[in-house]
Amino acid sequence: MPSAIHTRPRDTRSPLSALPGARPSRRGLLAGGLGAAALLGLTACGADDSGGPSTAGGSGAAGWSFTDDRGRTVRLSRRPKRIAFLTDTVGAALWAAGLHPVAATDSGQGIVPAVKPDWSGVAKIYSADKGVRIEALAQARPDLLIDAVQPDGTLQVASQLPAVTKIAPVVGLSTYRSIEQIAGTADRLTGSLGVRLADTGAKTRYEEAGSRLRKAVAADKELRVGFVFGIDKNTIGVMNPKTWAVLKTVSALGMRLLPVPGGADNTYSQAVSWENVPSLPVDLLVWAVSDPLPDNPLWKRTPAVRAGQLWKPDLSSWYAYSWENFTVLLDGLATHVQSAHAGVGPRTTS
Amino acid sequence: MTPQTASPVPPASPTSPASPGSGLRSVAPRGAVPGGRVLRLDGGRISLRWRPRTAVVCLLLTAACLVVGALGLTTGAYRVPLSGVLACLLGHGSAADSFIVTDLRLPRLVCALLAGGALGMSGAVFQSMSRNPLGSPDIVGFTSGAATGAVAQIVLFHGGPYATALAAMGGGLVTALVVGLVAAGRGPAVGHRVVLVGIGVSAMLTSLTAYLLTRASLYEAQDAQIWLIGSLNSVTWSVVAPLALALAVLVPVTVLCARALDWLELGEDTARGLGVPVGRARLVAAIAATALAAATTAAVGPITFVALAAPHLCRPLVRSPGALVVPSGAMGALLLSASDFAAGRVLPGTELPVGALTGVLGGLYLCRLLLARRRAART
Amino acid sequence: MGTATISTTDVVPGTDGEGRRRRTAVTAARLLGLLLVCALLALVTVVSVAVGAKAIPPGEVLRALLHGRASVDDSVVLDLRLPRTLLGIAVGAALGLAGVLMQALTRNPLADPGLLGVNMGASAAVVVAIALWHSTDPSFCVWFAFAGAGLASALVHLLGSRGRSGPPPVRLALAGTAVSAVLSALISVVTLLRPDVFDQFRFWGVGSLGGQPMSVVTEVLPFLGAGALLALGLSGPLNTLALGDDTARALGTGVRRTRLLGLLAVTLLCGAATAAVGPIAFVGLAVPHLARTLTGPDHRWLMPYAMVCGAALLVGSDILGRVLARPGEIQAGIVTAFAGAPVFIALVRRRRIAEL
Repeated sequence: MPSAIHTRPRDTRSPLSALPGARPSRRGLLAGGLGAAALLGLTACGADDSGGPSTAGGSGAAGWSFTDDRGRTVRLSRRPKRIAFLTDTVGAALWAAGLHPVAATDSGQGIVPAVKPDWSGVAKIYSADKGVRIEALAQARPDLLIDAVQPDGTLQVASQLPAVTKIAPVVGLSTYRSIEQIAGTADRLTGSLGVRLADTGAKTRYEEAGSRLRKAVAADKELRVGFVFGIDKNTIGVMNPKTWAVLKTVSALGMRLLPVPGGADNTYSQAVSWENVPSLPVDLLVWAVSDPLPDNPLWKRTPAVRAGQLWKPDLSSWYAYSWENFTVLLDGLATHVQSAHAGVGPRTTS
Repeated sequence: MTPQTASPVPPASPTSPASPGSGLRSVAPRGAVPGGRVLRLDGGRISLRWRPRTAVVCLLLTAACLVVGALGLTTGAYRVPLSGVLACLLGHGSAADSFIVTDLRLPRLVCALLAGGALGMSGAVFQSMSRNPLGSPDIVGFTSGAATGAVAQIVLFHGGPYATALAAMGGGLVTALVVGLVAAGRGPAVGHRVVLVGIGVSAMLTSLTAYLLTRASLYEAQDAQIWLIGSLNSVTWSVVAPLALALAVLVPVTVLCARALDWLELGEDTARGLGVPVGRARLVAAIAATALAAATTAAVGPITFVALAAPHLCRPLVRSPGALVVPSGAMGALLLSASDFAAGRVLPGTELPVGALTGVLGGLYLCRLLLARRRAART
Repeated sequence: MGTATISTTDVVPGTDGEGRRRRTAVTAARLLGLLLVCALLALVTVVSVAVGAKAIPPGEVLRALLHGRASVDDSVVLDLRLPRTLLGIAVGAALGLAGVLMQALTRNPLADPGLLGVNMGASAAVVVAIALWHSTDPSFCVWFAFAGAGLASALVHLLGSRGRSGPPPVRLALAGTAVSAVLSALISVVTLLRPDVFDQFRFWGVGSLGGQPMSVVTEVLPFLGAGALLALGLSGPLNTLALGDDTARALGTGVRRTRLLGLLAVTLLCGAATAAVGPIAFVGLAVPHLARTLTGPDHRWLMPYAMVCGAALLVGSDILGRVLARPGEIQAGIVTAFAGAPVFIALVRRRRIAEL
């Protein structure tokens, strides 16, 4: 907004979450978007985590301790019983693993509902400015807080950390990893908290789906897969394989993914103009957002789309990092990889 | 609103002191010489004009702020009994209650009052100075400069919250300075030129901010956006202290400037004839008002509309010409603290950033004032 | 146009003959200037069809224009570049013209068409449409945006008008500010609380010329045309209005009628433009000032200049957005300010400030 003044207060205040990495839409950026949908967990950085657990007093042989993904160890005199989830992604993984919190966030992006949590007796502590309602958190009287860790090693709640650590110590879980690591850490944490896995077969089913996908990928090694989403009316975004938990997981299973040139491990995606979409060197396209499929005339001209090698999964399973959701996802991918043929898309980008 | 015939914002007329065709003449007062009683201190070297009605309005606004403050301190998601709140304020509450009352609610309230007051004063100065009812610190590109500074800091230099506050302040001040220098020159239309250059520079900076956000990594972008929302949710004493310190210096300067501004509203020639150093008065007022906006933005991020709306909301209450710097400050404080109170409580289970509500409350109130005046004019 | 017009700058001292000769010279210069600006627009239009995020040889572009959609490249030219170029010309011209009207009607150089609540009204209506019907279909959203723009500007006009004397400029500006503030705050509340709504809204929230089918162009064109005709017809009365309401009345201009028709024209122009491409801010604000430095305040010249300059600025910005960010794009709504502001500032600095 140019300028100014007056007429458009909203523009300077600006909104919500973002779609970084993607191309700009000022609004898109500022506000939530897929960015949000996708990433919900990835807020703030900045302030370093000065405190660690503030109540680290405890110790004693009967105490409880846990070393988190930042390498910090939280020690408490007894096993914590009242847990609070400070972000959706980590919360969803832990809800799915059977942990019932006293307070949790749900920013309304469908990530938490995807694991069908039971909210009875749980305080909602999400604040629409993307933070946590500290008073409500304090009122829930938790003795352990769990938050997501950013790629740079800081907690998502960073800007509120000084206040939050006065309530209880924080454990950080990283969601920038493959599903095995994310759900694995969640299982380790719930185990140490004495929670029984609600569904013990889930991990086994996930592993079976993983091996099905691995086999399907191995059968056609030339097949190139692109995960894309709409950024704005002019461009689509190609997801960076080095950033997303989903893409890290499938790439570990051998899938050949459309690379993002120059993409660091913390960029979301590369924006590609619709003019260049038909030239993307991909054979199978995955439309990885909840938006409807695009109706741009160039979409129908894209070779993979014309060949019907296209999948639009149910997005709720994407950012809720549970064995069960990823089983659904890997199964769907395996089916589409099996039916797709390599060599449909152009050889290289022109 | 009581019916009134004298419009507080008189429409421009070709005979108003501002020359016809200036385009920037809308706030020119209808009254003749600013009246009221004069309080002289220091052997007449410092004199303050005051009017009983203005004083009453300021007192009422302050009382309303106190009511909002009392409600804000005693209610919230965390239940503290009234006696507990009092005990905390007197310094002997329980540790848990003290954390809520004196570490969360009190700094947040004080911050809302200070920031709102500073924004209101700054808006009053800018509207009076530019003689434009849409004037606000944005007129010199301040807010967009601050936003660009903050986002650049977060995206390019990865500093902490203090660095962001400093960068916002620096960005805003540098932008204001650049606008001033680019627009400077001889000729009668400097005010007009400042406005136009300000529009151009802020438009460029806004684009630059949007572009920077696209270059950001995902978590940096999110961090930048949290700042851009402008929320009081995470305010602590370490945010309030520097703000209070800055205001302690800036508020007296601005209030003293207000007198020269009142004369300036009569038209530059008249003011000059009355012995007001026009150029210097304008410069000092602009610097003080910009610094007020800078301190506020550094503390709480860009919260819009308060600076724009507060003076307009005051004018029909005070019913006298002039810059209305002090009542605008009180109105700004009330507007922001009331908005923050409502933002935290209006929806069950979540909390809105205060910036989302200042527009609703201030805008609706402004609509109501306009409607009231319309009805009054008809009868 | 038939009304008596008085131009404040055309009055040249001197003998009648000399004055007439000078006036003829001024008219000739302005006509030549207009031709030059039109040539610039034509150049920009050709470039916009020929150049984009994908490099396509000129021969192929020409073949596509003449022979239709055989290859992907043809489709890029005909389905992407052609509609967005036409849309850019129509919308840019409409916004430039609406800006002139708005600044004349409010007598405020800070006024842009958004001040009438058009942008916010359209945005709020689209947010409502998405929240309630989950629809992002462009030809559905167009009508919603249009209705929202109309409602908001009617509300602003209602609040800003007083008795029978028509809306005084200040009141109109304040009413516009108040309504825009409320609407924008409501938009941010809804999008903050409903990320799913935001997900859809972000496709619309930043003005961009791309991604719209040709059908949208034809849908909004009648409204833009009607608004433009109405606006051009008001150029004479607006000239007298610039002398102040009383003088205008004395000269026989229907002040109230002119204001009402002017606001109707702004609503048509901006409502249709915003409905088609989303909110674009800088054009309506800056282009009138830009045009004024070229022509002076006479609306009979100012309006055509503003239309052509607005179109050239928007189409030119769209080209830059496509070329600078290859293989992606930057929306025109973002580039406009960055490309237009330096020119704007330079003009403001160098030229004698053209008053309203």
